[in-house]
Amino acid sequence: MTPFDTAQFRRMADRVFGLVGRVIRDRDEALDITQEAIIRSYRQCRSREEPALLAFAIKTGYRLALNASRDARRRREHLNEAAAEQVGTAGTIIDEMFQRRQVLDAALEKLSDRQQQALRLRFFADLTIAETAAVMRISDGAVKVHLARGLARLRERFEVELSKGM
Amino acid sequence: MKNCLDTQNKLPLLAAGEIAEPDATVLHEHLALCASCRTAYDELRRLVGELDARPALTEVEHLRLENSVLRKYSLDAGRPSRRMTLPWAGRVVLRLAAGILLFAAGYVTQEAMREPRIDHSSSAPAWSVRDLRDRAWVGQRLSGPGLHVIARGRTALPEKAEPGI
Repeated sequence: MTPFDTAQFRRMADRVFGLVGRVIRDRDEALDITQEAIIRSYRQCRSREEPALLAFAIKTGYRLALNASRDARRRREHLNEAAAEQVGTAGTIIDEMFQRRQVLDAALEKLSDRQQQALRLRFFADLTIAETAAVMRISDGAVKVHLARGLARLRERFEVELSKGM
Repeated sequence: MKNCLDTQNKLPLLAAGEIAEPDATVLHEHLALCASCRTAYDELRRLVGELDARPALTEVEHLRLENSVLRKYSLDAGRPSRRMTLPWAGRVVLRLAAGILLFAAGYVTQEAMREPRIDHSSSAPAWSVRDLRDRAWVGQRLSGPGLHVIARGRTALPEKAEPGI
């Protein structure tokens, strides 16, 4: 391995955190997962080239983030029934941007797994189509199809959820 | 209007910036004319904009990440391909150790299985005194006084037998 490349590390950290930070709400937890994903890619990835390392870190980060958010959701569902009623009145204070974000995340979670993955890799992790295809192990064309359908369905869902929520 | 359906399908990718130039211009020309496509496109653009708004790492967080990764990874930072060879060598050593262990275990079991026989023979040897005596007794009966000398220690038996003859 070449001596630790700070610039490369920063580029990877930015993109992995972009992805993980959007899936995980808690910032500290997202940082931990980012760190874990990058360490694992340095340790376990066979190639030392940046694209391969990045793909490995992104893949690992995505998997860890999904697992963590699933756990968090389970915990929330457990606790929230009572808490939800209390928040009801305070909820109106939440600004519109935040609410749109919440609705967007909820709508995103209703897409198929592949569509979610394609959208998240492309936008949250800021990967190109080709990089997304490499991570998902499918062709560029298939990524485009997932993206196009995912975005179209997201738009429909988003409008529905927004009219329901507001 | 035939153009519209075609455009609607391409709008998501256009909004995501994934359609290259000659085609993109054609689509934009259509958007300028078609109001319904235009609204759809604007909504998609806004959606993409919101998807694109990623949380960014602050400088402090960058440094924190760097430090902790370097600390965890300092063992092999700068040493070429140590990581790649170590597990391999480790595996070979492990296999050798397992082989030796298996061999040793086999040897021990074999010994353990042999042991009862040794015990048995030491408590009652194959050539016991009694055996020798019996053989000698038979020998005496078959071949007369020549072997009588060997059985002399137990003269009681032949003497007891004598009255019967």
